[in-house]
Amino acid sequence: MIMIVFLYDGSFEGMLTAIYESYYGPGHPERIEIPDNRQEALLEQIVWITADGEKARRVETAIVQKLSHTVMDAVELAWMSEDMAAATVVHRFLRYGFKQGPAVLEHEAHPAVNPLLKLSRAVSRERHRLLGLARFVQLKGGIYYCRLEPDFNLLTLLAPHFAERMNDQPWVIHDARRGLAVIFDTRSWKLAAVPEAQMLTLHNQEEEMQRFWREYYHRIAIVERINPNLRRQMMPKKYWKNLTEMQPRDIEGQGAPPGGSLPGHRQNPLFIGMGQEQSP
Amino acid sequence: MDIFEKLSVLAEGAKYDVSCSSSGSDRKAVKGQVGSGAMSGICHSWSADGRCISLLKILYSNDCVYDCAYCVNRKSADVKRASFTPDELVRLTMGFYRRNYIEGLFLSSAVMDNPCRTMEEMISVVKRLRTVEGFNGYIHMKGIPGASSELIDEAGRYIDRMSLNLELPSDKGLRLLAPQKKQKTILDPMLHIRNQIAATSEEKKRFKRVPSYIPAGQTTQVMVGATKDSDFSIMRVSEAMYQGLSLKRVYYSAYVPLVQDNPLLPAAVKAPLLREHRLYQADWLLRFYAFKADELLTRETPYFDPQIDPKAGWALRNMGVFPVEVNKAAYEMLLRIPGVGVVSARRIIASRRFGRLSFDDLKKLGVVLKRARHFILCNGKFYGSSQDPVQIRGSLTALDNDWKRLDPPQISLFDLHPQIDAISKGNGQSVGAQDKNQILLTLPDRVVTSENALAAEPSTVYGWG
Repeated sequence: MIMIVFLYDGSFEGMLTAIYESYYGPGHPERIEIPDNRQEALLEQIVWITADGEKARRVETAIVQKLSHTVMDAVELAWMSEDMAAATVVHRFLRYGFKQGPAVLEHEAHPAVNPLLKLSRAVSRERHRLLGLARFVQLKGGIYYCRLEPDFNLLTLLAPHFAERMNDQPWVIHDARRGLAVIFDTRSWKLAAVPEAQMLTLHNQEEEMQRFWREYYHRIAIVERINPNLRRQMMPKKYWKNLTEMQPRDIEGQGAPPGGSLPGHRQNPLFIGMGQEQSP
Repeated sequence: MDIFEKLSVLAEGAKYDVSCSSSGSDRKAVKGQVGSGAMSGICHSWSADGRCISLLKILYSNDCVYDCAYCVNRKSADVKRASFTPDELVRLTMGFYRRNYIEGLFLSSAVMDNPCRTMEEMISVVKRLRTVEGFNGYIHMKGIPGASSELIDEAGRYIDRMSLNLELPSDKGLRLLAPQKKQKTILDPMLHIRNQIAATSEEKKRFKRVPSYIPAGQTTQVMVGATKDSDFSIMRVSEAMYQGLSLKRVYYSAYVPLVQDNPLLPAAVKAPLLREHRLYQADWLLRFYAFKADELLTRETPYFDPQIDPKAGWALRNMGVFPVEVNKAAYEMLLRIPGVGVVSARRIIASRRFGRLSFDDLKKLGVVLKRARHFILCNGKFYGSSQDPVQIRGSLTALDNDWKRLDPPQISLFDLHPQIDAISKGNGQSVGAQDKNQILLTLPDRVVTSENALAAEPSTVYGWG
């Protein structure tokens, strides 16, 4: 039996175009995938989908009108997961959703709904975590710069929160993994392609603030309750590289933060006051 | 003393106040000013003890005129004393906030001179943050017991949450360990806050612009293990406070034995982390699962079973109610199933509308089937290993790690040295190190209070004699 497989460019528009084509095009696809790193199967018929803004827009309108904004958000979140099966999951979900109506998200146990919810929730969780874990450093000139390496492509989910909260200071949030950044000039924010930042100069007040924060972080733990496993569970190590407080401490200072710091990682040049020697 | 040193001393002094939340405030951002609330609260970091950090939790001053026996900052303690200036505190708060280290400020203080003066100093900080710096982030301020209602109300205009720590569930316990505090001086302000919050809420229904007053409500903290108050008395006090004072949260803080030389306080045993854990589990049952305190504990059984969580404990004592058919049961009944939480119960109710749920479906909905299977029917079929409570208890204790981790089973000292046991049951004299071969152990003098009449003997699992 021949399986139809749609290949698209990985963009959100491309995914929606593929959905459009699944209704109006050559046939119902078994899978919708990105060409890189695919598993090629024997009996498959490949259909290449080119992203089409107009078709994508029509799908989006259909989702919002026939289903809901919440469903549209869930679909966007699922795409942001960059999961290999994301587009396929979205497609199956929408096929079921257009038959069910706006309450489809509540039918959690259904095999067409559950995978979509899993993806969208994973992205949502990471977003919430990063709202807390994003750390800004003040650069010379006054811009606040934040470096992240998120699992998912969610800068556009973080930007509105910080644009609202830190609305009187210019800031940049940099997804170093993907070479993207959102830039805020105290009026609005924009997404731009920005490779790894080099040669950033820190503001003269920045070092002191970092020392204060690291000291506070060290002091606030109750020594009798130190629990590295619990801390690692709540705050996975993958985030530590970009956290001020998890850097090794000063030479003239007090050794590693209780529970240990990240062993053997490359020094993050944004965080100063780090000794040459590793903490024990 | 420079800011760094003050920060060091005053953060140390504040850390035993375990309240960590930044939730409950939907304070709106204002263009041109920095800051906003986040209704769900945001955790910014986790300290080495695994606790969430979301606020700059700090004392304004640790120079206290009171001498509470359990407190690291008590007047008679030999610690470095420090006080911030409002400038310094504002600088720290704003600097941290702009770097997204925190959601806001948690400001507490030792009592400087008297409660009112202390409150005034603290109010000057929060007022500056709001009116001069234009700060719209979260502020949690401690209320100092004994401060006037006017000062509480003035603070209330600027802050999101206020808390006053009950510290100990009984008046007698409080008078024993903190003679300058009386339960009345703590509860009266809490009642006043509750009434004011209710009044503000009423006004909001009638008028458009009503000044905010402690929008995220009030909380309190109770120490666990500093006195012989039982779990039952703690839970009853919590329940009464949730009902009578509309508290958002009660926090339970395991007593960390920092003070060694006071006969009124327990000897150097480990902090009762497992007991604290069970109390939090029970607290959740009161708040989200519609349990009553007397369903969980009684006068005859005033301590939680250390090996099993309170909800499963209740289920095992009430097997007549189980098994519950998940496809038919009401929400309130679903909540009572061990392994089904608030979120799973809601999902079950929502998914049920579309058709019958199978056992595999339940797993997708987030039900912990290893626990729940002994208590449910799914389409009439039973998937548990047994309906005998003793056997079920066995499998649950084998599953759970929390009690093994927090209070690993150890040989009781009383098993090793029966003569200590005999003495402890007698007149409570101190057993000193007369014989080098004996274990050095000082038993606290038995203090007879009216609480003893209520509480049964604590179990030796907690190491309390």
